[in-house]
Amino acid sequence: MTVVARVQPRAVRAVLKHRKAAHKLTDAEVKRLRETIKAALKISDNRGYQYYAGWHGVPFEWCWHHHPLFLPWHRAYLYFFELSLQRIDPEVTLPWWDWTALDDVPKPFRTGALASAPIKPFTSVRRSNWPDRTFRTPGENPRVPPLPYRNLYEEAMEAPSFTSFNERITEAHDLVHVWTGGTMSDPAWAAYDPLFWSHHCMVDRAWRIWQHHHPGALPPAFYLDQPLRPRAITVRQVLDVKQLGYDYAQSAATVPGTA
Amino acid sequence: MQRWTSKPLRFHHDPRAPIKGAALELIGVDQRVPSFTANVYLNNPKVPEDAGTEGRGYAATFAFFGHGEDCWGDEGHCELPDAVSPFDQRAESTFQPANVTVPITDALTQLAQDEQVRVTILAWPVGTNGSSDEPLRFDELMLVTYS
Repeated sequence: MTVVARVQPRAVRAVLKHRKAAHKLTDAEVKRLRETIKAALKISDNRGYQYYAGWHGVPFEWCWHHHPLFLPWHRAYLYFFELSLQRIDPEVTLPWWDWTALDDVPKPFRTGALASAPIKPFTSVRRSNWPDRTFRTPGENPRVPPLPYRNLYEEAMEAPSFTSFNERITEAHDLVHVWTGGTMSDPAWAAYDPLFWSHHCMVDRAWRIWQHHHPGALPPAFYLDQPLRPRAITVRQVLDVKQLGYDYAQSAATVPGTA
Repeated sequence: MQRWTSKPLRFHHDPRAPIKGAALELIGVDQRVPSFTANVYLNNPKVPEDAGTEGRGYAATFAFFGHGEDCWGDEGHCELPDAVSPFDQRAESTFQPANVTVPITDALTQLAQDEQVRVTILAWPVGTNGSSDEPLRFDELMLVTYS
């Protein structure tokens, strides 16, 4: 007779990580994020920056827009990308761009590795008209309303259902992409820009706050068990950010306990 | 710049139950278009291109994060695929037509007595992923009101 001994999983003290406002990061936190992005850019395989950027547009096009999967898919996307960064630096988290209060790109994203990134898609061909680097033209289009978009955010927060919230926050989301301009206004290249992740953290944060005020308000039932490509994680599995190990905080502080 | 004006859309005005919310729903919006921004005007089909938010009947500004008109893939890459068999369980295309909701409550309530409205949309491509003169393509426009 063969006896199979199963070892109990090791108890891990699970501490949520808090995503913080980009404009409130300390100098040390900005440096940490910048160094992590630079390190991710140096990884050329499917753990690196270019691989994850490619999920959204060229070459994989797995993203959803103007669709009930818009919010769940991008939540999962941020989750997997953030984990890839935490493999490099476990303390780093994605910050959120508060475009309901700021009238410009957050300061940390205006210089260095957070201002622009190379575009090197995971493809066997490279078209001659593809951009080599991300660029932005923030606020330069006179037909796009200036930031901040507080009113759009508040209208979204008043939505009575997931479907309605999804529509309203999409309106703000699209405007921010177009306001930022350059490669951020093109789904093919937007995710190559480091600012993309902070824009979507803000969208994800809005959903999380709306969820807090509308407990039990779910995406349409048809979608709940759909996987969010390319991974097997489902819509249902991304509904609770705390199950994904993070939350959003205006501030978070800890002190030593009795140990 | 693209100018599109609807046929008259009727809506019900009841002073005992005033309109508290109104929205335009653009149904079946083609996502394979350049990203664009658009202004919406009510009952002003000849609104000047440069009228902006001051134009008579101004109702809303919205933007659309479009996939782009220049497909980067090989031939057929951006076409909407049909199921290849009854057993095809692959997810639908991310390029399937979308619906876009544009709130117009303030502008419509000012016209409530009219009980009908014509909608004019001026749309401009942002210019980074195509420059089509007609970035807005959709199947239907629906006006919905709530009291």
